[in-house]
Amino acid sequence: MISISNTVSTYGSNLLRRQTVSDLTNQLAKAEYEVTTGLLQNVFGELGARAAQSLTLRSQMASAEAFVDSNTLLANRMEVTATALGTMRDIAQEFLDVAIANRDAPGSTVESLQMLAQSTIGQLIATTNTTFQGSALFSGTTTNATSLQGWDEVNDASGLSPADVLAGIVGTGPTTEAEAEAMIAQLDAVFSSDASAGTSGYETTFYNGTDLLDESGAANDRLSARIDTGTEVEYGIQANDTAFTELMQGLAMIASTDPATIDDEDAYNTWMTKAVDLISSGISGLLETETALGGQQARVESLIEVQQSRIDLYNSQVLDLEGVDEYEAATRLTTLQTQLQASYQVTSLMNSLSFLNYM
Amino acid sequence: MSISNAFATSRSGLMATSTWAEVTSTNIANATTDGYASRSVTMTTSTLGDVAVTGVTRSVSTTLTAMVRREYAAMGTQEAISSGLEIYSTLLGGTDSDSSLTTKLGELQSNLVLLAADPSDSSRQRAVVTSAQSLAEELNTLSSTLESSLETTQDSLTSEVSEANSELEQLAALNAALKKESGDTERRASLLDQQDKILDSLSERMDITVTTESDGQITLRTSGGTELLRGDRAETLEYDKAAGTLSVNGTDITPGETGKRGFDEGRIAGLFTLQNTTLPEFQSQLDEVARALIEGFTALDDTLATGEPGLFTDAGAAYDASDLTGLAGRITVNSAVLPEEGGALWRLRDGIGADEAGTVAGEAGLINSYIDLLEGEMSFSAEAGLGDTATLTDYVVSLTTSQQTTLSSAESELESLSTSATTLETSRQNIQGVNLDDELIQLTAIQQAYAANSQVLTTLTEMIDSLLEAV
Repeated sequence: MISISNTVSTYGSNLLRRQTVSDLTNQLAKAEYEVTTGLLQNVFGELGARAAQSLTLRSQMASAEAFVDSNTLLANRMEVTATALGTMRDIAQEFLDVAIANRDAPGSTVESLQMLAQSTIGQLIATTNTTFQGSALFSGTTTNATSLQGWDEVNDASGLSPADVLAGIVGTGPTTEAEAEAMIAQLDAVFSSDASAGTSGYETTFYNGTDLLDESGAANDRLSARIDTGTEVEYGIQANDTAFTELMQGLAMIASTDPATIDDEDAYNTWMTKAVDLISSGISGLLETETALGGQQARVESLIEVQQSRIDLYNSQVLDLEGVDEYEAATRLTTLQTQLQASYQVTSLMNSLSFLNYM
Repeated sequence: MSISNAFATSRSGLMATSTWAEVTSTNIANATTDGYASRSVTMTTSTLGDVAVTGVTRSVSTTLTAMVRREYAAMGTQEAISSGLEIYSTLLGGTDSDSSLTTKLGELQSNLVLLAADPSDSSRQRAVVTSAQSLAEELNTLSSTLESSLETTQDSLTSEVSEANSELEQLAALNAALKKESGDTERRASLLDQQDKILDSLSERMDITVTTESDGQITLRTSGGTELLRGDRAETLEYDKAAGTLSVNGTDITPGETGKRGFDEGRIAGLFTLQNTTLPEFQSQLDEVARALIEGFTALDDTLATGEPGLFTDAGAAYDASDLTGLAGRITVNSAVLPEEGGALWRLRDGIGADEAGTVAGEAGLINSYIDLLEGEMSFSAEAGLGDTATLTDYVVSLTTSQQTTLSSAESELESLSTSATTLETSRQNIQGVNLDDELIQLTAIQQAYAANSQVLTTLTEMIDSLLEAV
């Protein structure tokens, strides 16, 4: 039926006002959340597919944090390694300073050299066996093995102690130049990392860590660390590296025979020149190793900084995505408050306005 | 024209006014009744001058009503989807949730990185195993939530369909009652009120087309054209839970299927979308993640014999391509690395199939290859709908986003539909609702008319009395 008066449904308008109030209350709750947290209330609703970016950023942030943790550990480990290397070099240098004067012919300190060499070897072995958090620093990947065998301790792998091996070759010391040369050749074989020396070889009796080469002659893996996504560095320094074997061989030659008792001048010269040169070359090898390690340390340190700033960057990007302008949200909150108040007023006014009051 | 005629006319005036008063009081009483359409009386004058009420009519707009119902149906679809996914979505977690899949996967990756730096550290090995377990458990939880969501959906469908059937029955009974009721009576109006109310409720369940006959009987069809109700005969909707189909009278009208003469909107349609499309898709995406983990970790470990599972297992066994569905619910960490189940943590470093702990404590080869696996690209089944190559993290990110977006887009769709439905509903209410002020004004008019007619009667009586006195 067509009605002349175009009326408004009392119930309908009441319903509409109720809905307006509940809508406003919902928006108010949302604005309140955004003002207090500074983040969007419904990330997936507001960002849609861009929420994926936020998730990815957060996961990259977590992975960067893990790298910072593990790199900090690595940096500490390298620091300990560097300190140990420095100590070793100092110990060896001290001995070299004394030995160099006796290189070509016996000098005034020749009497004390053997004893000095023995104590230097002991100190070197102790320093090399430094561990970091329970794992050996110079044993390669076999971090559970003590790097160097004690000088007089029998190694289970060969049934010999390093001192035994030396005594077997050197005996009472060289008496002629030819003898000295023959002994040196034998010692060279012992201190090399090939298998020719058998059980008395360096890697079997002196050193307990990972061999340089595996059975097929290929290089064994060294200690490596993952310092960033997809980036690995080999940082392991092993006590069977050339610098160490040279140093050990030179010291062992002097420690196993008293140079003062080598009467033959040529034999003395051959023997001592070889030993002192080996020590000197070992020291410069150690220095090179230290320098290389220093480079890696710097790399790890700067990487940690990069990763930390990357975390900050990710964080700010996440905030760009998920964050709300707090001033805008606060303004919205105030506006909504006013709106809600107005709507309460209107509701109460409309409800009290009825023809009933005038009948 | 005579005084006795005038008596009769006044009497008819009183009668008509009381009917009007009755209708007005009904209107006032039902002012807040949902679905009540305001009535008005139609009055005519007879040749003798009598006033008579010829009918009580309801004010309705059929076009607006049909539009509102279509909105309700669309709202029903989105409501079913959003409420069906709500629990799952909460468990799936937002961007800053500690328990989300991305967080769990990230933790596993981070712990592997830390372990690679010191492969023999048993506390780090434990951390890797724990994070692997919590990743597997998260997948289990999500998968079982999906399963229970599916069951809830099926239960809701069963009850929705049976309620729709009972509403169709009621409409059929109303059709029969309307056929018997002739003329614009108050009873007819209230039958039509009932009919409207049931139609409103039915159209939230399914999108229907209503054809009204002149006598008020209705014929119902699905929006696709399949007949549901004609006269007093209602068809029965049949829901086949196992096959996931809906049929009427042997005709398949499953919503969402192309080429079927069913319907696309309404709660039932929404629930069918959940049951047949959304939930299975979510499940297969989770299963893909579980498969990638099990297969990926197994392939890297060369200590395993053929058919043995790696770090992640399908309930203890290796991955079986023929049994992919529900894999996310079954994925577990291999008991070979769990000391509490007779395993050993060092197998993380030395391989799941290793009999004895290796002598090389710092061996990080296997752990590094695990990290490479998680950092590198993997292949996924394109059928799961998230592309075929991605890193696992990216895949999990797009899984989370796409699943959460499904919910939030249903929610925002619902919100915008509800805005337009409110507008339409308000217009509809303005036409068929009661305005109290208007009724009250009518009431004063009734009062006046009644008083006037009574006054006429009194005057007529006085006239006859004075005539009798004069005689």
